[in-house]
Amino acid sequence: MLTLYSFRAMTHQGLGEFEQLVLLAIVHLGREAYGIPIVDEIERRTGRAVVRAAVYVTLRRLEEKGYVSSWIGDPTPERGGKGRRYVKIEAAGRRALRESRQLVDRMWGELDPASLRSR
Amino acid sequence: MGPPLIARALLRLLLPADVRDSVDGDLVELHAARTHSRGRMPAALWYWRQTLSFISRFALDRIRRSARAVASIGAVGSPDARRERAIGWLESVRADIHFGRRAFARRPLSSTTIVLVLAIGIAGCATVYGLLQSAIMRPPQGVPSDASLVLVRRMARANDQPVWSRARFSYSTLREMSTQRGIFTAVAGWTDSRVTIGVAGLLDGGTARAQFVTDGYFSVVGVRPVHGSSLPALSPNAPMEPQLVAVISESMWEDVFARQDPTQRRLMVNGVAVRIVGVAPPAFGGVTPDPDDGRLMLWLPLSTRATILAARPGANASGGAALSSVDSMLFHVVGRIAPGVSTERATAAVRVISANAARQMAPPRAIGSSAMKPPAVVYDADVVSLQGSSDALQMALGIPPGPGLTWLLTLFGSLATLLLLVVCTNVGALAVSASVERRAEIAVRLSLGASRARVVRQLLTENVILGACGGVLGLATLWGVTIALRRVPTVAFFRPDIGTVAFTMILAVGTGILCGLAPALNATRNGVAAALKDTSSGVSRRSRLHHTFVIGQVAFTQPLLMVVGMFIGAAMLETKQPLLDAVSERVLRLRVDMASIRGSSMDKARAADRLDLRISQTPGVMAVLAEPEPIGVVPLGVRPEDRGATPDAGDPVTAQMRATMPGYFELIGVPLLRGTDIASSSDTSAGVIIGSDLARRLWGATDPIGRRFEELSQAVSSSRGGRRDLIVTGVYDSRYFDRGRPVLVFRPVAKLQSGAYLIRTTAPASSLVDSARDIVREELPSASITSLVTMKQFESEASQNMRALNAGLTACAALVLLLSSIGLYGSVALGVRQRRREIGVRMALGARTEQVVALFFGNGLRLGVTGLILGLPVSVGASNLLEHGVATDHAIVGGVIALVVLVVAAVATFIPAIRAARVNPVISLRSE
Repeated sequence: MLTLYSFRAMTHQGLGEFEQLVLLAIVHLGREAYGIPIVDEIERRTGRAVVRAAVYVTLRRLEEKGYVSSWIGDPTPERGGKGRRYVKIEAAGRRALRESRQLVDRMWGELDPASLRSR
Repeated sequence: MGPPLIARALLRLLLPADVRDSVDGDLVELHAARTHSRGRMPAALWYWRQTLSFISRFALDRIRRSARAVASIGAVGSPDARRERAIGWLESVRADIHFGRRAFARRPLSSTTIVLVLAIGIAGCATVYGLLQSAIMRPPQGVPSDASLVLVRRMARANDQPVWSRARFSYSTLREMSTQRGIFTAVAGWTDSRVTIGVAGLLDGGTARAQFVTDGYFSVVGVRPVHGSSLPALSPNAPMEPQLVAVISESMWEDVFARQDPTQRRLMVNGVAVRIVGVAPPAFGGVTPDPDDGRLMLWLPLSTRATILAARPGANASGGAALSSVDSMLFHVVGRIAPGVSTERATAAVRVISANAARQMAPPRAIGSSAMKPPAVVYDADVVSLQGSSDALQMALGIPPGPGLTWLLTLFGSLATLLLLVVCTNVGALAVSASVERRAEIAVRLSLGASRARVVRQLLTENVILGACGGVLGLATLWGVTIALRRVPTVAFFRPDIGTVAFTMILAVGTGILCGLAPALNATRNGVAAALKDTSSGVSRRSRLHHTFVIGQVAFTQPLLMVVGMFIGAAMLETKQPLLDAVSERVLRLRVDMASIRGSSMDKARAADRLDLRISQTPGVMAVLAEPEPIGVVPLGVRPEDRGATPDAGDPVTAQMRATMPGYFELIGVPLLRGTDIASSSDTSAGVIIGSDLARRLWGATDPIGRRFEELSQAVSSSRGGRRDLIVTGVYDSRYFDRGRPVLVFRPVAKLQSGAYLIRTTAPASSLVDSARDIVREELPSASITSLVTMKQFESEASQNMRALNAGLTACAALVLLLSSIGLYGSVALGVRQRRREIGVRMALGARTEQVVALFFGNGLRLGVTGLILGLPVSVGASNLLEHGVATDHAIVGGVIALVVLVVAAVATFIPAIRAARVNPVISLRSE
C-alpha cells in the first residue's frame, strides 16, 4: 500500500520523496556525481540501505523530465572499458527541489517539530 | 577477475540501451572493489543479486511506461486521471501478487498440493484424452490430414463363425475399384512382404518390411518424399521391364545411411540390386503402420514384386500369376473419394465389387478328411476415413474389427472424464479449504474498508497464480509423458492435442479459481461481523459443501478404480504357468503367412503337406504338429441329464473352440490329466477336451469324461443341419493355458492346417531355426515367415508385454488413489477445521479425546459409504461393459475396491480427527 501512494505522488508535478533524495545527493556531490557515489551519499546521509537499481531507474526518469543532464566520462580499464555517466542538476531540477521544500515548509508553518513528540 | 559472465551477459541483454553501459561499468567497478574486500564468492553472489534487481526494476519500469502509454490513448477523462487509473491498477495488481506470494509462503504445503494435483490431473487427463483423440481423429503418422483419404477394408469369416477377420483384395478387384470414377478419384493398393536387405559397406544382411505399391500410391496417400523423389510412374511403353527402384523409410535413412545422401547407393533387396530414389517423410510407416515390425521399411513399385520375391534363395521363378488370379488376395486398398461422396455410398459400391469378386473365386475344396471340410467364406467390405478409422488403436490393441472397439473407446472416454471429475473435485476441495482459513483475515480487511471487489480480486489473483503454476507444471509433465510414450511402439502415435490440453486446463484451473473465490463471496455476503465471529450459519452451509466434496470424491474414484482393478485382475489371472524349460527350449514355433502362398487352396494345402513332411524328416526333429487354431466362440450348455452337483453346473459356458491335432498336449509337455485327445467325431457328436478349471466348476470331483455339452447358439446348429453333441473325451491342465474368458475348449481333429507349426526337437530348438527357414524357402518360396522362435522366447515375450501392461495399470491405479486420497484428506480436514470451536466446546465440557475422534471418524466413514453407494451404478455399468473382454469376477474386484476406498477415507478422516482432538480447548475457544 505504501508504494502505491508514494508512486501516485510522484506522477504529479511535484517530486517524490525518493526523487528528492536522489536530486539532493547530486547537488551535494557537485561535479563528481555518478551512480556509485550517489548511492553512497544517500546511504551515508539517511543511514538507510538503498536499492541500487531503484536509484538508476530514478536517475533515468529525472533525466527524461529534464531535471538532470548527463554526460559520459572517459572509459577506464577497471570499469571493463565503460565510462562513468556523470549527472548534473539542471535549472528545472533546482526549481522542483525548491518547490518541494517550500511545500513542506508551508505545511509545517509555525509548528515546532518538538511538539510532535509522542507523550 | 571479472564479474560472473552469464550474469553480466544477462544484464547487458535485458537493460535498456541508454543505461546499459553506465550500469555495467558501475557494477564492474563495485564488483572489483568487493572482490578485493570480501573475496570472490561473496562478490559474485552480490553481483548476481544486483543483476536480478536491476533487471526486474527496469522491467517493471518498462511496464509502467507502457501502461501509461496505453492509458493515455483512447481513455475518457483528463490525461492525469487516466494515467492515475492505469498506474493505480497496475500498482494494485503488483500489490496483490506480492500479497499472494506471502500467503503462499505461509501455507507452503497446501499451496504445493494444489499445484501438484493440478499438474498431475491436467497431465493425466490430457494424456488419456490425447491418446483417444490421436487414435481416432488422426491419420496415420506421416500422412497429411485429408477428409477425402479413405481406407477400403475387407473382412472375412467362415459362415459358421461369428468372428470377422481382416482380409485383402485381389489385384483385379483393385483395378475394378479404380474404374469407379464416380466414387473414387484415385485408388492405390499395396502388398506387404518381408525381404532381406543389404547395402555394401553399411549393412550386411538385415530384414525389412517391403510394400509393393501400385502406381500413384504416394500421390494418393499424399506423401511427398523429404529427400529425392517419389517412385516413378510406370512407363506405358515398357511394361515388362520393371524399374528396380525404391523409396526408403526415414528411420532406415537414419539407421543405415546416417542421413547421408542415399540416392546413389545400391540397395540389395533379396539379393536384387535396387536404386534408392527417395526417402519417405519422418514417421511415415505406411497407411497402416505396424509398430512391431521394426524401423526398416521400403516401398517398391508393384512391377518389381515378381523379380524380387522370385530372387529369394530357393524360390522357383514364376511371373506375376499372383496378380492375375482372383484367388490371391494380396492387396490393401487406399483411395480418395470423389467430392460429395459419403463413405456410406462408397461402402455400398465397394460391397458390390467385393461380393462380385467373391462369386468369381474358386469354391473352397475339402482338405484331407471330410471332417475338416472348410466352411464357405463370407466377405464384407467397407470404406472408412483414414482420419477416423481408429485403425491405429485397433492395431495397437490387437482388436478384430467390429463393435469391440466401440466399447473400448467408450470405456476410455468415460475413464478420462471420471479422472477429470476427480481432479476438479480435488482442486475444488483443496482451494476451498485453503481459503476458508483466511475468512478472518478477509473479514478484517473488509472491516478496515476494503471493497468487496478489491478482496475478491485479491483472492482471484492468488488463485490464478496457483492455477498458472499448476498449469505450467502440468504442461511440463505432459511433455515428459509424451516423450516417454514416443518410445513405446504400441502408442507411438500419441500426440497431445492443443485443443484438448487447453480444455482440460481451463476446466481444472477454472474449478480451482471458482472454489477459491467461494469464501470471499461468502464472507462478503454474510457481512463482516458474522465472518469475524465465525457464526454457525456459515458453518452449516460450508459443511454441506464439504460433505459434497467427500461424497463426490468417493463416488468418482470408485468406478475409476473398478475399471483399472478389473484390468489388473484380468492381467493377473491370465498369467499362466510357463511350460517346463526342458520342453519350451525344445519347441520351435514357426508361423507362415498362408495368404501369401500363390495358387488355389488346393495348392496351398499340398504345399503345406510337403512342408510338414520335409520338416518331420529333418534330423533332430521329433514331431511336427499344426498349432491349434481358433474355430470360433460358441455358447455351450451341459445336457440336463449330464449335469453335476456343483452350484454352477447349469450355467451356460462361452467357449473359445480350438481345433487341435492329437499329440499336441504331449508335444508341449503338458500331458492330459484324464482321457485322450484322439479325434473322434461322427455326424451326431464330436469329442472335446476341456480344462481342469471348467471340469471342477461343472462337475466337482466327479469324472467329467463322457459328459455331453450341446451347442446353444441357434445359428450354429441350423447351418450344420442339426445339433451335434460335444462329448468330453479329455481334460487338460488349466494352469498352463490362458485363463481368460471365454474358456478354451479343444476339439481334436485328424488333420489341421493353420499355417503355424510346433516343432519338437531333440536338441535345443534354436539350432534348428536356420534349417527350418531354409525348408520353408524351398517348399513355399512365395510365403513369408511371420514368426520363427523357440517356445521359450515366445513365452518370455508374451510375459514381458503382460508385465509392462500390468505396470502401467498399477501406476494408473496408484495415481487415482493418490489423487483421491489427497482430495479426501483435504476435504475432511476442512470439515474438522471448521468445527474446531465446537470441538473446543465439547472438550471443555468434558468430552474425551476418543469420543471426539469417534465422532469425526464415524462421520467420515458415513460420507465414504454414501459416496460408494452413489458411485455404485457407474461402477456396475463400467464392469458390465468390460464383461466382454475381461475375465475378472466383478464382485471380488468391487469388494476389494470398496475396501480400499474405505480404508483411504478412514485414514484421511482419522488424521484430522486426531489432530482436532489434540487441540487445547483454551486455544480453540480463544477466538470468542
